[in-house]
Amino acid sequence: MLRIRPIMNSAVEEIFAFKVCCGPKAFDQNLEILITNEGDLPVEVQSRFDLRSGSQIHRFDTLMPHGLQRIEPGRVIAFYCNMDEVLWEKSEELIFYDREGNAYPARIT
Amino acid sequence: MATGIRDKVAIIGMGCTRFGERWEDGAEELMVEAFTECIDDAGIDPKEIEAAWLGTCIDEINVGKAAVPLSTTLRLPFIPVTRVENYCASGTESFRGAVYAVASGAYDIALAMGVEKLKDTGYGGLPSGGSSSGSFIWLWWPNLTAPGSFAQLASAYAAKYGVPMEDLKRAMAQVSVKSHENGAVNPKAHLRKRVSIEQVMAAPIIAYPLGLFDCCGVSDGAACAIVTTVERAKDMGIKNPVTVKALQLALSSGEEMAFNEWDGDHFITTDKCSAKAYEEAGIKNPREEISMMEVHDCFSITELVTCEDLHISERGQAWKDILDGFYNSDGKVPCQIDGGLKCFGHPIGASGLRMLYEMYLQLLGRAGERQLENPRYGLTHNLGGFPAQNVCAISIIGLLD
Repeated sequence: MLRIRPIMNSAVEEIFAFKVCCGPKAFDQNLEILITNEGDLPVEVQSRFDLRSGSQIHRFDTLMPHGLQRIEPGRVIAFYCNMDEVLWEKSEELIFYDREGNAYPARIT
Repeated sequence: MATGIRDKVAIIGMGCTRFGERWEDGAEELMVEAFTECIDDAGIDPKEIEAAWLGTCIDEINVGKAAVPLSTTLRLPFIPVTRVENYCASGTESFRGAVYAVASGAYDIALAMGVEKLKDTGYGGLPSGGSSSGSFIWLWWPNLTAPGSFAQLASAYAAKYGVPMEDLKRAMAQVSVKSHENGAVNPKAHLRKRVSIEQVMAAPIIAYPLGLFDCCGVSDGAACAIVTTVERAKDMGIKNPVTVKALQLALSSGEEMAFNEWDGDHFITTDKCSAKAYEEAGIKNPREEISMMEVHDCFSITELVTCEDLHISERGQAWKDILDGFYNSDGKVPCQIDGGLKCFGHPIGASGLRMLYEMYLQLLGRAGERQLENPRYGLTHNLGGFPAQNVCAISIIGLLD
């Protein structure tokens, strides 16, 4: 079971941009998503999510970090990306997927 | 017989710029900004300054190798000005020069300035060591990165004291959370955002176990102090001036790298330097007598082990003290009450004086939202270099007893 907590306009954006300004060049990472593995087994999460707004689905696959991310039970990992605020405001749900393609939706409040 | 520096020299004025990506300002503008506040605070004419010291480290991309940029920028009237450099302790080295000059009787009033302008390099970390780092630099530190080197400190600490890495990670996260909490209310800090333990622990790893928030950034900034004799300060009408209680410096002698006694889990220099500083200041029990401190939190683990090397926490216990809130702003010994390197970044030459600036404000009751209740002694600590070879500078200041 994964608990997904998106933090739009996260406080880390400015800190992140400053500290990695000339390495990964991670500017404008205004969306931080914390994913906690609340289950008993490790889960490998894909570095992408779908954002659902009504019948529309927008796929985001430019997250940091890239690639499959293994989350041990009880551990938290973070993904970061740039997100359009207007799109975010009108979206209802974001959905992550594990290695097997199982979906993990989270409501956007 | 040497009697030390205690209560021989008073700080009568200090100034500090806002730290940050100061694209619009050069090192000269930064020095003017800090100096303007400092000279107003001291209430003297710049012509009364008889000698000055300038601390700056990366001269190749900064103010150059001489002290001329300070004397010309501030229009100091043909007085002796000395540029000093001692890795990350360069700012405190500048302060040491000015304080000892006054204590010696050579001058009545001296200025200590520290400045660094690093963001113009367009590079995220510190510039690599050049010719000024010494001819053996590549033999001493082959293929070394700062995060990689300090990450080993964390591994060694966890192994020596049997601390589960998850617990150590949480304690290191608390170091950053606490500093960001403090920096959020400091208008001169570069980064003024609060972060949670969860966010810190989930952030990308830079060099395991150090994550993004365990590492400080570099920045632009300047800070300075004007010092004089205690007698002269009193003549100026300052009844109870802030005085220097101790100034100590310890440099690695090669023991860390060459001998087997060092486990790589702490800083020998800080351990020895702090013992001398307490002796000079007349402090018997630092855990009880030190009211607050600014330590060199280049990495969270540096601050954690430094709390032990400063003899505030027992060996192997700092991580527990940190998690217990002992070093929080409302704890027994607040650490990084201004936000520390985590929130200010690290313009090398300025950092030591920036730390002293906060201690000075606190002692005079001028720290605004960050003000602590009746602090007596404030300690500052700089560490330059790497765990295996470094420079440690410690200052202790307080109101005249």
